[in-house]
Amino acid sequence: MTSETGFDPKLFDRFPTPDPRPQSEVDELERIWAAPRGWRMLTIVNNNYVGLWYVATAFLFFLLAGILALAIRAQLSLPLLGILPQETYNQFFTMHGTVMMFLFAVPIMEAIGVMLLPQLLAARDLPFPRLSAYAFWAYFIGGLCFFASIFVGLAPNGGWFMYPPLTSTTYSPGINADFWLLGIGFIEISAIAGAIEILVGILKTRAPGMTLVRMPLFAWAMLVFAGMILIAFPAVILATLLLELERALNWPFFDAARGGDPMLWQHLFWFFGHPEVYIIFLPAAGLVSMMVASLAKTELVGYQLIVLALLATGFISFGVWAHHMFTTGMPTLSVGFFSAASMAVSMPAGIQVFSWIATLSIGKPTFNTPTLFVIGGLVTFVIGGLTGVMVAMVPFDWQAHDTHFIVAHLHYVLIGGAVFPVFAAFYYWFGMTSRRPLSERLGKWVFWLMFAGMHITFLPMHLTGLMGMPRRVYTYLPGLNWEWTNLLSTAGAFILGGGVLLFLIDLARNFRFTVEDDAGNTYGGGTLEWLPTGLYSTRSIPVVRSRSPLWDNPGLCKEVEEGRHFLPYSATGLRETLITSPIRAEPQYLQIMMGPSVWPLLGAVFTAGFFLLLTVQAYVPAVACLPLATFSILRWLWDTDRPVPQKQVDVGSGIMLPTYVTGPSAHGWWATICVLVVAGMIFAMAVFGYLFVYGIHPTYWTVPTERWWAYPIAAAYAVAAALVVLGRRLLVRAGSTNWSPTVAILLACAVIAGGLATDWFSWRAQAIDPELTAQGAFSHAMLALQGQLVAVVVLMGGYLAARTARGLVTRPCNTTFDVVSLFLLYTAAQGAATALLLRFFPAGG
Amino acid sequence: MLIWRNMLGGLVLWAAHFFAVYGIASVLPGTQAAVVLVLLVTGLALAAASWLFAKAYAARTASDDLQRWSVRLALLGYALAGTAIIYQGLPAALT
Amino acid sequence: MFEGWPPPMLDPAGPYAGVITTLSWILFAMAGAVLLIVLAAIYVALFAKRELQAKLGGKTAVLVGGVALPAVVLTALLIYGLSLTRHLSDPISGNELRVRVTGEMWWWRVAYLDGQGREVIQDANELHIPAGRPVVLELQSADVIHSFWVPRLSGKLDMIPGRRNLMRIQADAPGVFGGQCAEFCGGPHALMGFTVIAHEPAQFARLMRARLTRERTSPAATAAGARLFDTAGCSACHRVAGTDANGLAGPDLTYVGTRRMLGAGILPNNRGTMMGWIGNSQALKPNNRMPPYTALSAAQLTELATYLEAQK
Repeated sequence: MTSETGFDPKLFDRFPTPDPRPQSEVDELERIWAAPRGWRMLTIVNNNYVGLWYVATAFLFFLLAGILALAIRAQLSLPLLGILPQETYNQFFTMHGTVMMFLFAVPIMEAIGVMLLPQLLAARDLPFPRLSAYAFWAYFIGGLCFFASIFVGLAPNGGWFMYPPLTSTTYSPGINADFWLLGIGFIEISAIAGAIEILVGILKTRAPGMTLVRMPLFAWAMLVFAGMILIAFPAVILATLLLELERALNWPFFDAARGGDPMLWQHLFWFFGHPEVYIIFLPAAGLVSMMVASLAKTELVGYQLIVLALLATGFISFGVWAHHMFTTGMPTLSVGFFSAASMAVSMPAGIQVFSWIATLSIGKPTFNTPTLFVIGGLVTFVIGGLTGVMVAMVPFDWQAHDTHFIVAHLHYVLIGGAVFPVFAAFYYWFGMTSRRPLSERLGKWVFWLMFAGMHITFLPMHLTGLMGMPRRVYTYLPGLNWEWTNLLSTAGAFILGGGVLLFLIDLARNFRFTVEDDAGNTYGGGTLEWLPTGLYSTRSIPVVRSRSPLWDNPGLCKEVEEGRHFLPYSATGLRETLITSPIRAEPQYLQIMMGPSVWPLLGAVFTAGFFLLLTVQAYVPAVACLPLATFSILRWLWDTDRPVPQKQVDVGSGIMLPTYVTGPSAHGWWATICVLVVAGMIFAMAVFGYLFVYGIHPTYWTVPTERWWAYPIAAAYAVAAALVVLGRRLLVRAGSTNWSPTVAILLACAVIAGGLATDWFSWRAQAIDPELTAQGAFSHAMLALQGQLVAVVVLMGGYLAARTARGLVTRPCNTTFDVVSLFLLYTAAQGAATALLLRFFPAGG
Repeated sequence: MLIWRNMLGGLVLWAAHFFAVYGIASVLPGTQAAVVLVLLVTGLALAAASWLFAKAYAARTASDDLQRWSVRLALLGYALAGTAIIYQGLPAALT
Repeated sequence: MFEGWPPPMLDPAGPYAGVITTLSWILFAMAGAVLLIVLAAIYVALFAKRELQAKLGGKTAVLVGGVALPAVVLTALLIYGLSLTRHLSDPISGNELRVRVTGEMWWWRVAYLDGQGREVIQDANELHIPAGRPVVLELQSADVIHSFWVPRLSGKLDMIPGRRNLMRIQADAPGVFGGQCAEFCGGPHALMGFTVIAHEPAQFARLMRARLTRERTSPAATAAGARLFDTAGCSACHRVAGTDANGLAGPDLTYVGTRRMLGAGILPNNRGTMMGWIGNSQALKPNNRMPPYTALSAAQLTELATYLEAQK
């Protein structure tokens, strides 16, 4: 067996060690990982708590959005009802979609990931605990404030997809749209933070020996999920930013009269929007893959095929976005590609479905509640997938698009492919976090009510669409024969609601949060999350030798509890976990992790404050929040990157690992690369938009005259990049002074800022007004994007200087220094690219 | 590195083909040139998929389990990508 | 069968909808067959004999059911679908009858074009076409994105500001066909309907000739009605050809007497609804762009309604 890092795999044979370890080590672990009490619980960063809060909040939004749905269905049960007046209905359906998609569907998957993944991988926590706390609080505060807009009649009312020109200031003068743009835009930052955490956690904190081939399928699914978020979410972030700029500053990105195009929004939104639904589906599929194996009491059939299906879906789902735009008049050839890819993307789903059926077939499932939800979800999802293939056929979509047929399709795939699996997961994994399991008896009622309710609601809805009822209508006329299907759908919705209510009752009766004496492995799973755990996760981190370690080694629980595997203690007296290599999970170093802190919470409060105060146009308080948020985040970072005195520690059985590693195998490096991927995607989307609007209305573009400015600006950025490289070299060199590397970085920051200033002022001299043409709007927007990065760069320079002053920049290598360097290099590259693009495109002249 | 290439190679090839043909159709809408270029690019992509498939097939008796597993994944990936690439070539072929 | 069957999407009245209906039935059959296969597989997986279950549990079953079968079905469908898309997107030749339909919040501006593309007849909310011939619609928007959809005649096509989309419709036989805006456009989007009336070709020709003449003449109407139309403020938004009323913000009322429906396809056209609409359209279609005229007396409303009934 080859090695990835030079680690000798034969060292794994030392585990389990022969003798149990002393109890004092457990006591020490408990002390180190103890959760604060009372008010200080708000400072908790441990995934056991943050994950639970996250799941609970996401579920709360599911309930809130569900109540909106019941109101919608009540209004539509008969023609011309007045239960919800027109404006209220328009806000209700917008919020139902927005809350379900942005505040429930993606967050619940992230939340389950936060709760489950560390246990599944036998890591002690996620790699950036304070980041997950920040992401959670930002989501919690932002989401609740966003939802509150409905109580003051200011909820967004332009549909969850917010198409301009309807959502531009002309046709949406109120701040409703701004609630969406600023509120949701901000929550997406939280989602991206979660995705980075999950991606780095899956690739770098797995139990030793858990190669990619032995990794549980939920981890595979979350890996693809996180990668997809990094690529897809920037599109909606950019679109949101552009629409908000158009509304606030009158920059015409989407206004055809000034050279913009409403279609740009659609491309950007759906480039995000379609992968979004697979981002929702894939984690659920990963959960189903794991549950099916346990519930059928057999190994999963087709593990490799399912891995292929997950990867393939992740990629191909990025090629189907314009199937939401088949009726917009796109050229026939382009439309054909999207139809073709939409057909192709259903093949991986079919592979997963048949693998699950095969597993159920050779296994011996019993019809307990999770099994019912899994099978019910499977049937429902297949029906939704079949109607999906139908609408992938362009001419059929020309009839079915924007009718209730699509409403039926999307609820079939989302309820079958996400909601039912999540409910199955609630029952299946309940015993991990509660002293009492959920009731099997009530569970069957919950399932059948939800299943029957769901089909009674949405099956007739296909016919409603075929009868010609469009979407997003607050009422309809009598005499079109739409009455009886609508009435049926409403009845079904309330049955579905009844099932959820029953679930809530059972939840209230049986959920008793615990970490230690949980109800246990109720359904007989074979993966690591069922090891005995405390707040420190497992007492020792096991060597993994197969895909279902608990099935293949029944004594593993005892071995782990006795401390006979890796890290049965805290080697440094601090919170730690093992960092392992991405492919073969060979131990690389010991990660020191952060404990409770109030700063992520405060950072979230002030970040949320900034965005929400901007929405209600309280500009002074909004701007006041910015330095407070910045300070909180920097103060939180200040405690990080503190190497311990011990350079190497014994992580078990005499195996020595370093405690501080920098460079491409470090988790901080990986996280930074993820952030830069996001920044790069935002930039790529901006370039796409720039070229797109030019292609649609080239007559609104003027060729810049003073093009030569691009050269000195690009040269300046190149100099900055060289200074960064120099700084890094100086850090490594023994003979350089304490300050010289940081001075090089500070000079690079200054040059970058100078490059931007030159770019800005020379571009302003071109007098291409951002309010007059799309070219003006876009060029200024791209400079603004660069400006955001430069602001961060300047902050980073100051932060690095402060750390140098306190002697916290270690030599010859330092994580903070690396992170700053990577960020500066990217900013310089983007700056040069911006300067060149603005001046050399359009060519000619 | 090889393992990442095996896992993702087919899919990256698919993505390159997709964005290439979409770009062509967007920049030259409604022209015969676009159709021809798309067919050309599709042919190239299929050739690349076949060649990479053959290379992976030759390496299927690799040194250890993980390598062999990743080779099988590569073969499946190139096959799936090839199918999707053919699908994406059909709009031009049927013009 | 029962009331409401077949639904409009499966009850085509012209060739462009007809081919889509055929496709729809094939798709329903495919989906039904695949669903039956999957349900049968699930049944076997849960309840059948062990030998059969073992067969279903192998890699072959997964590859056949999850890869081979879908690939065959999807490939066949894709070829069919792409060919049909191609056929329905044939370039517009240029000598078909052309009508420009502009989406407004929340009604439809209709303008018939002559051979040189000039607007020669203005109307709103209803479209007259000859049966048996294709008619080209030029779809555009005056404000936000709308979508033109008459399911028995064709699929839908969006009306996007800054763009012009072309679509063909054809009714095989005379008849009346309803439609509705199919892209959320805010406010009373739910009440933005449309009607297409197909005539025998000879009758259509007579209608168009009559209208062309009408566009150039003054109406035979009560002078009082025309005066009130002006003094009440109607002429600020509405046009009646041959009079001083030349408002372009609202629907053209030159032929409103011939319309089957009022308010953009939501009310039958009679004296009572006409008076009700003028008096307070907000009660009938909340948030539409026409203000209420509650100050008008019943006598005034009757006068206006009489005047408008005569506009043909």
